[in-house]
Amino acid sequence: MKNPLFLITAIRRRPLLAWTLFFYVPVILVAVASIIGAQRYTEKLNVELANGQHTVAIAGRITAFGEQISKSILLIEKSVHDKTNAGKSVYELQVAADRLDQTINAFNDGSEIVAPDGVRFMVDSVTDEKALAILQEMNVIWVGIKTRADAVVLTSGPKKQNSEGIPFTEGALSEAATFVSNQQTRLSEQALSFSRRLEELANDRVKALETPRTTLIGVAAISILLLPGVFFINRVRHARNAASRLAAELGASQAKLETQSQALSIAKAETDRIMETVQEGLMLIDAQGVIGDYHSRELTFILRQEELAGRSLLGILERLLSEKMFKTTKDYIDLLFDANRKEKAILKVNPLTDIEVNFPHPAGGFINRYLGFSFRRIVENGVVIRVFVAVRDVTTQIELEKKLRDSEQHKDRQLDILLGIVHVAPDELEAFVTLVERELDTINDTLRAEHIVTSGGQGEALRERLQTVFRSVHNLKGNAALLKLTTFQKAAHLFESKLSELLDRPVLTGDDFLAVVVAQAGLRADLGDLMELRGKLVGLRQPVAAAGNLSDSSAAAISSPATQITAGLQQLVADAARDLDKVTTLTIDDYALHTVAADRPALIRDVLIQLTRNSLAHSIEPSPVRLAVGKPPAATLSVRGLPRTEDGLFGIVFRDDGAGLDMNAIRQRAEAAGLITPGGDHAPADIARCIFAPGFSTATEVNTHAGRGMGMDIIKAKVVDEAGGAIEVRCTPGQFCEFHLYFPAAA
Amino acid sequence: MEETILKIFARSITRYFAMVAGGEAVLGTPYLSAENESVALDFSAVIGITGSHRGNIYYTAPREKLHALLPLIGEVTPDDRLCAELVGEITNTISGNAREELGGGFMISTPFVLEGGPLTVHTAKDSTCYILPVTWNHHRSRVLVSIQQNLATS
Repeated sequence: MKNPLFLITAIRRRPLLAWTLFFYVPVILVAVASIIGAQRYTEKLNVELANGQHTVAIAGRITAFGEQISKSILLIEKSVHDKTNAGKSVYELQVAADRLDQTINAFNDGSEIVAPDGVRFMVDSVTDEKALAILQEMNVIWVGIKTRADAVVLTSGPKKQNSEGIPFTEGALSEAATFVSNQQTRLSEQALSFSRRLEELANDRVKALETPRTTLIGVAAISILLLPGVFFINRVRHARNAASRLAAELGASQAKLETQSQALSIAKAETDRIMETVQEGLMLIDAQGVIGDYHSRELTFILRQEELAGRSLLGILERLLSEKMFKTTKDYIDLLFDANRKEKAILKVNPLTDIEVNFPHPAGGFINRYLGFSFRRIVENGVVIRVFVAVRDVTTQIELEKKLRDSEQHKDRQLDILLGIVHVAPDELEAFVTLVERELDTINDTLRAEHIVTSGGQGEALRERLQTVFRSVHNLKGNAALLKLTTFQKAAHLFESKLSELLDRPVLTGDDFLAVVVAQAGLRADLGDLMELRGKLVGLRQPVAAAGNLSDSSAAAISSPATQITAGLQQLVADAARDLDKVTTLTIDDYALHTVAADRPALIRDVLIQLTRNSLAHSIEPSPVRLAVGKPPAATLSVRGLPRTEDGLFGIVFRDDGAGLDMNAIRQRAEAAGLITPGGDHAPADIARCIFAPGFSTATEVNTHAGRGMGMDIIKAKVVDEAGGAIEVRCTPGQFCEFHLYFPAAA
Repeated sequence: MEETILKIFARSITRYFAMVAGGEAVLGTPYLSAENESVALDFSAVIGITGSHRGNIYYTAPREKLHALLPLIGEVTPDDRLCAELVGEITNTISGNAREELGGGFMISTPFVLEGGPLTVHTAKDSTCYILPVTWNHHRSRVLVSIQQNLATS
């Protein structure tokens, strides 16, 4: 069982329940009871009214019956006098006398009687003193009247059984009529009084019932009226209480709001200070890219515009970015507002991390800046409602990074060049510079010839140009390798790669040469660096040379072209043999070399470089192979003089004791390249001649020493085309290979 | 300079002739301008580049070529004034195309027209002048590109 206190508490907490239990239900019960009671009293009242009416009506008949008796006696008297039949009057007299008797007896003793309206009605015996006194008077009068009436009936009427009629005389009838008439008057008076008294009594009884009935009706009415009244009052009071409570709550809320407002004001002031001082452009944008009401002050400086709130960020960027970049930016912002896309993935592909923008300069022209944007979504209920945007001016950072990068690249390149040239004798370096300049000029002159285009000679003419360029680059690379100038060697190698790729194209156009001219410009830039460093090294080398106390003859020897070529070739053999994992020695007849190189040192150097690289790459076998075929493990390269020919040509021979020309490989390659007819009966000399074709190589792969197929082409171009000499190849496959080079005497 | 930038100008000049003159223009082998080399033809126009790049863009063409081209653009009575305007327009067009591809930072000046040679090519510091020979209808002309990417400037 629950604690009564709990119920009381529960009821107190529910005012409507309390009012219902302790007011509305009792009042309703009272109202119902009152209505029921009033209904009962009304029914009683109706009964009393009916009874009263009947009683008074019955009492009223006493007078009528009395008058009927008087009238009947007078008629009987007249009939007797007239000697007529008085039967009807006697009958009427008898009936009236019987009814009057019943009536008076009913009032005396209480009995059922038929009312004038035919209703059988129970008349109570009279108990009221006043009515009883009147009734006694009427009883006395009635006894006198009844006696005469009964006598008249007995004498004038039909004879009753067992009775003997006593005939009335006229005198007796007259006396009876007079008596009855007199008594009837008294009876009427008493009957009237009796009726009034009965009416008074009936009224008293009705009044006695009306008071409680009225009271009950009043109670019921009051109860019925009380319910809505109290309910209304309660509602009003409840509403007033609610209003009061709301007012109190409102007051409390207002107070709280004021407190919060103050806190917000403080927070806003702080936020404003932050937004005023933060060195970053901060803003919120909506899905249309419109900037929110608040943004940092720095944003106006970064975007160089005032009144940014409410403006479209995309609209601002449209004027600052390229069309392509603007489209990318627009798509990216759409992606940011696409809640289906993962934010982490989207942030990774931010295209605006360091975007270049251009602001119009007030004085004309433009201001070029770099801006870095970063984004963050603001999501509510799964919907991206805003995007937070932070923007920084990263111009200084980008500028420094680029400067640093350029500076490091330049420094690295210069260091490479410096390390390369520091061991190179000045005159060798000078010769290299001259060679590079000459080759670059050759390249540019080759490209410059516009007449080929004008004459519509695209195609093969362009391919020939490309091969000419190739030869220059290849020669440049060989010389760079000779002096171990790796920067140039690598640059030339990359240049060769581009040229090879172009040569492989079936059709060439002028557009294809854009890469060539750019690579050429790169080599020119490297040459510029080399010349700059060479100038700086001059001041250092002079003191070193003085400290070395070199004799003039020694210096002259060092500066001799043949000596330089010999030294360079020895170094080249050592480096290439090491790179190719071969053991090789080089012997040079200095006198013979001097004889041919004195007039054309660069050409002889270029040719010997290519021959040396060619032998090492193609002819010289690795030591195990050599041992297997009975050769010494170390291969031998040699340069020696040739007797002057009958035509007056000077000659040198370059020999290697390697495998020599691989005639089968040369034939296959030549057939594949269309140089000779496949399957034809070609003389060995015709096959061997193919090695001088541009781009011809039997190498299966390209490395820095061979594989481009340009070495022999260069040799032919130098010896035959440039110097007007001749080349003779002698080869015993598997034993040796000799290149006899003949030059005319210098003019 | 990047090869891509040269390609933009090469594509732009050939496209110009394809659209305006209705004929194919052929790009010759590009080369570098040598020092003191005279590259000017009869009419030349130059546009200065600032912003993301700095330097100059030139277009130079002979009178005969311009006289052949002018009727195709509605000028039936060619004269030197119209030739000067045309080289200016061509220079402006190819520079504008480059601006579209290189971005708003590629700022171009109004063209300045020179008549006759010699033409002194102003190159940016540490920059090289590339010459793109263009042949249209057997007439030679040249686009000279001497620009270098610029660091941001305030």
